[in-house]
Amino acid sequence: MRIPWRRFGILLFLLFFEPSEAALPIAQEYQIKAVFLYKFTDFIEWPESAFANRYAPFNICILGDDPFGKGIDVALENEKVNGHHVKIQRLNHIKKVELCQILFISVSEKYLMNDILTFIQRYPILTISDSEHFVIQGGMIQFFKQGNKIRFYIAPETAMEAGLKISANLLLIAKIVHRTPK
Amino acid sequence: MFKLKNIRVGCLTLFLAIIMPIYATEKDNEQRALINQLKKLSLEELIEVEIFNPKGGLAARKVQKLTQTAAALFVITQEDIRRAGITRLPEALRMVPGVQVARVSANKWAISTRGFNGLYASKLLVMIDGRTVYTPLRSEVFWDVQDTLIEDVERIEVIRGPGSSLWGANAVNGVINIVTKSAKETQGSLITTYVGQGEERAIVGIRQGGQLGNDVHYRVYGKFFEHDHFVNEQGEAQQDNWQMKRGGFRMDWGASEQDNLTVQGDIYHGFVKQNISVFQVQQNDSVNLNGLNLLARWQHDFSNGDIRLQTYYDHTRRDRLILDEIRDTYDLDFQHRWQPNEKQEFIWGLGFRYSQDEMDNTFILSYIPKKRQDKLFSAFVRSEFQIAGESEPFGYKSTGDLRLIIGSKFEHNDYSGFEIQPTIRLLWKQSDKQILWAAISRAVRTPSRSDSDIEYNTLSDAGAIRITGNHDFQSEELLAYELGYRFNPNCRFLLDISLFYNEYDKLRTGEPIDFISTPPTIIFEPDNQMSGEVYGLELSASWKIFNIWKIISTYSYLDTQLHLNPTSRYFVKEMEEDDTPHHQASLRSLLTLPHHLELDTALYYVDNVPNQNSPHYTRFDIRLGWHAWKNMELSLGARNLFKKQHREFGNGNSISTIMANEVRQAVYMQLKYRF
Repeated sequence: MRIPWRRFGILLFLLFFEPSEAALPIAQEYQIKAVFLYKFTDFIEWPESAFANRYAPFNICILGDDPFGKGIDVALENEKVNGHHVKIQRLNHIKKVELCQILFISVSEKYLMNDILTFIQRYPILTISDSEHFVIQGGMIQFFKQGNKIRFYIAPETAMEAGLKISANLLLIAKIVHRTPK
Repeated sequence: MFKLKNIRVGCLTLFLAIIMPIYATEKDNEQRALINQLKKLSLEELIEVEIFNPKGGLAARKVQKLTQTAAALFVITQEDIRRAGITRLPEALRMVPGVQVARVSANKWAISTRGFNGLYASKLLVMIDGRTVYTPLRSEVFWDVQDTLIEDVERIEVIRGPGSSLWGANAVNGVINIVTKSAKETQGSLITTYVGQGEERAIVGIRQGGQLGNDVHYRVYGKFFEHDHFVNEQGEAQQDNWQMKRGGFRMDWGASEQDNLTVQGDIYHGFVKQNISVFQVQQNDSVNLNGLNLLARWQHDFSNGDIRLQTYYDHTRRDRLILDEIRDTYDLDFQHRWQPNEKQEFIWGLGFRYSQDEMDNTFILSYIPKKRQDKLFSAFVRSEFQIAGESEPFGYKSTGDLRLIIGSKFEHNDYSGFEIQPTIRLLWKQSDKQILWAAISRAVRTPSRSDSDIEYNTLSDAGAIRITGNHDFQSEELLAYELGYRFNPNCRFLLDISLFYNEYDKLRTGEPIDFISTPPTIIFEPDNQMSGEVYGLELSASWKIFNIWKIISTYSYLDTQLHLNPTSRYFVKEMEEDDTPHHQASLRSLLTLPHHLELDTALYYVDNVPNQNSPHYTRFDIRLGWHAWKNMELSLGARNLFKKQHREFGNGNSISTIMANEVRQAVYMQLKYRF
């Protein structure tokens, strides 16, 4: 058999010198999570009804103690989601939550989690938290640590019920959690 | 209707608000660059990004990326250990280029880096979670009692070359830092069982991790193992089997965002059997081993540095036929790291160690005085300056960065007095893909209790020999020149090359000083009458060819040239030149197969060791792992598949009483269950 050296050579070249693939950096936990929030917007589709009008901002809200600091502002400044300018809102109150497209619920709110989730059930809001059992309690995306890397659970049914469409590519990377039927 | 609740704004926000302005501009730019870098990654890459963990990283007394160290560093991860089916810490070191691992018997190892290997290899410092396990008795490491639950080891950091400017005397040829996982990472229960033949016959380990309140995590573990015997040249079983019981705990308390307290300890009891030759009569000696240690470490993080305070107590006891040794060590270590900006960093520290021993002397082997208390005072400084280039956060997106590192350790010990061990290093990050470093360092191996106080009577072929200690024995000295290069074009490939040239002076020799006629006995004492050069090359490359297949290969070359002083009458002459193999190579393959299977193979080649009558050998290890369920892992494996038995080291010219045996083929089955 003739060995396709040329092709093998190209393969080798790609493996070694693929220009886009630089060494992975090391980052603070919430810097990585902030970038995850940014990345999720590419893989999730919000219904038009999620926005008041075409010019309404895309609100990413942080409820409770803010673990991100400036990192999340940096990660999302001057970004747009489907033509909507991204704004970071820090909430200390659940009242205005209907204006959010993404709601990050801080661990500081873990004792209120059930109430918060029940309250926003009817809105097309992507709910994200680090809080333990978040997806089981009715949240959509829950970060967890595997070794020193960040992974996440997704509850696709919860998101679907809220009218959000999650791309299969995102589900491929996530750990899927199916809620047990009540 | 649903009731709305007010949500309080917690202290964390407040804290950030206070802290932020202090390091606003510089840190902001760093953060911006880093986040932009992260944003360019795909989701698949993003989930592989590691969290910056300020509690880790011991090798350089600070957190550092492997690819940015200005030293020949190699890291063995838990995954490497697991996939190689490693059950004993010294066996894991075979993976490291430039480290010589030779098994002398079932419970004895000769381990060194960059040469001078031997059963009593004296130039390698070993630490477990910051506790030194290098014994001042005879400047060696008792590998038989260095153990833990192997699943709890996070990584083993191996630095070849002097680490003495940070770690002090005896880190002459290298430093090994064994780092266990934090208790937070070992939550839940683990049961591990192992049955085999040839090496361990059985291992049973159990670990329970839990939480006390929100911020305190703990684990406790227990372990028992029984190790098979090795064989002699003819394949006959030798009495060198051993067993040990061990238990321990670790508690990590995240007292606040900035404070972390670790308390850990171990206790063990066991025996090793060894064949010894006393006055040319072979006997079997069952050595009882006991020990316990307790360590506490507190770390406080500032916005631009940290302080660390550590103290430990270590007790060991070895009851041998020819000597009982009890040793108690108390150690206190403080260090402060301060990084005012990305362009400079300072670390300094102070240390104190008190070690007391008590010997139960016999006619054959004795120490005079019988009891001894030694004090070691130490201090170190190390500073790093950027002398050219752009600053770069967390080491990427660089436009060239040249750094100068200077530092020194200052010590005072009771044998050789004051010692200075400086280093000067240059680190050039040409880009995030290529790094070049160079170093010149001085290191010393300080006199051991044996060098100073021993009295040992033995019979050699030439007649009776007595070795007596020499109070004027001086430190062995090293001046090391090193050069290293790392190429890390992407996260799949890493090439690491290091070259070294070591100049030694005042190396230990044994000089005849007297002759007694009844009975005819030659008296020797240790002296410093040898110099020498060791030079070599170490290479390692790891390549993740596909996500499911990774290969790691290493090669090292080394040559030793020794020169006795003209006045020396050392009976061994310069034969220690041939105690270390010239060539060593390894090739490991980690393959993940469908159906939750793993197939891992390792091939090791070690050149002959003439002075130990050990021919070259090739060993082949294989492991098949199966994650039968999410929390259950089954492994089947074999070691030394090519040969039924092989010799790795001998008695050489040393006047040691220990008889060397040959390594056997081994097979095993291992089952781990987590819940």
